[in-house]
Amino acid sequence: MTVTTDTELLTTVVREIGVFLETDTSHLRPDSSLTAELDNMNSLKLYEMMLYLEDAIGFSFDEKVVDRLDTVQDLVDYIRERLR
Amino acid sequence: MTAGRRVVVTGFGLASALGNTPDRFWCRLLAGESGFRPISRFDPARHKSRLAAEADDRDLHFGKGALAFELARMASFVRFAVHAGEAALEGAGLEPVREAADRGLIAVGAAMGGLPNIEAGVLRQEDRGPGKTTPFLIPSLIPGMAAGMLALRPGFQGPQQTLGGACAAGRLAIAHLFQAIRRGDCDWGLAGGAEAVTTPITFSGFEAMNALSLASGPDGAPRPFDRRRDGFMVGEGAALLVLEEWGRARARGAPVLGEILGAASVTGGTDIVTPDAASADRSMRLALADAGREAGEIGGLFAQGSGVVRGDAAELEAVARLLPRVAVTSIKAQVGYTFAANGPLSLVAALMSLQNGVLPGIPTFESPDPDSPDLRILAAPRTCPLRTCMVNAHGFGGVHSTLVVGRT
Repeated sequence: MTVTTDTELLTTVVREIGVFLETDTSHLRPDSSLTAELDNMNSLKLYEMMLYLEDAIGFSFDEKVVDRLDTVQDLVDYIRERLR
Repeated sequence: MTAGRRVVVTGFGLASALGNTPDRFWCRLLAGESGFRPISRFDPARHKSRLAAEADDRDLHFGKGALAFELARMASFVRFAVHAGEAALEGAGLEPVREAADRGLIAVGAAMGGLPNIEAGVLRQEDRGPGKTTPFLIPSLIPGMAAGMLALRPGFQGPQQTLGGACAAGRLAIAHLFQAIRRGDCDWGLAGGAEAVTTPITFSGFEAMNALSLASGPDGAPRPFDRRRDGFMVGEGAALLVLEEWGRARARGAPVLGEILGAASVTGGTDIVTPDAASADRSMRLALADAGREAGEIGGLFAQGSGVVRGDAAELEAVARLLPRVAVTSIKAQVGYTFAANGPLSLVAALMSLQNGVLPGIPTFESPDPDSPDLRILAAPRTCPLRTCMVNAHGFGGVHSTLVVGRT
């Protein structure tokens, strides 16, 4: 997947989170918490979501980072870094 | 006869290659239809056995219970069990969360659990690396997750138990619940078995044992008890039943679909995989005694009858000793060998036979072994007045088990 701008990447990440969770994620903003603002999110689902995003967006994540991702912006920033 | 409270069946649900509702399963079973098709779960070109009786996993129905996200990631045996168990509860008109938790029990048998998920997980680990394993892998495949999901989704807070016992596991789970209700340990519960292991390593393993039938083509199916039998064929499925103390079921106006009269399980033989005639005989005799019935009262036997050469011969030897004039049938020629679900699916077939007064036949049975005793093996359905049936299920490790069920 080719994503050029931060805005595009944010849009893509929010959309793919919605696909993964099979839920509406249009309420998510950059400072939204990945756990508190996603219904029933937990550490297992977050890791599973990273595996999904890895394939959907085309990057490779280091499993140690999962515990450090608090907000949507954290996730976007990390993916941006990995896409470089 | 073992003293205790009467135990009746008030609901059942299932998943099988003949359909995922009891009515569809029964209609197609009686019509002699085959559930065998070319394997769709993987490319079987490298294997000798290329047919399986797969249950339709696109035709599963789940209630509004919790953990839908997790359920979607569970191994097929868990999903089949939840589909069957929730249908059984619905049929019985029971909502576990409204029942006294300490008077209920959920018991599920599973033999190989999520073997397909194990195989896929290993392949992914080797392909992508250990850090790319889904965190749902282990929860998805542990044998206990079928009982776990059946308990957690509706908010049941009582005990849940998972039984091994190889291919008799589901039948052992039913007997476990039956005995617990009969003793007064609990008043109601859900029990049965589930299995779905259509994955390459299953075929490699059983082919190495020379246990699988090589039947092929559009009519390919195993031949339980037939002189041309050459092994079993893999099936998938689940059956879960709601059992209740008789007085409680009657008091709440629950549908009574049959009665569990007795059960027995023994260990025997000198082989880790092949049933033993003396042990099968002993299991059936003990189950009859437990039920307080005579051999002459049994109207039909739902045999293990898998199509394996030595196993079928041993079972028939036992039948010849105890039930030489009883009609013998097996559902394996149509739904395949469903491992932990063998006994529970056979039990549902027996209960429907008792309700309808007809025993299904074995469509692939033509003639017995030349030296076989003269037994009443059914090739076609037989209408007959039925009051009591027997159900056998045997498993690796010397497990021989029997249930006796009756019409109420």
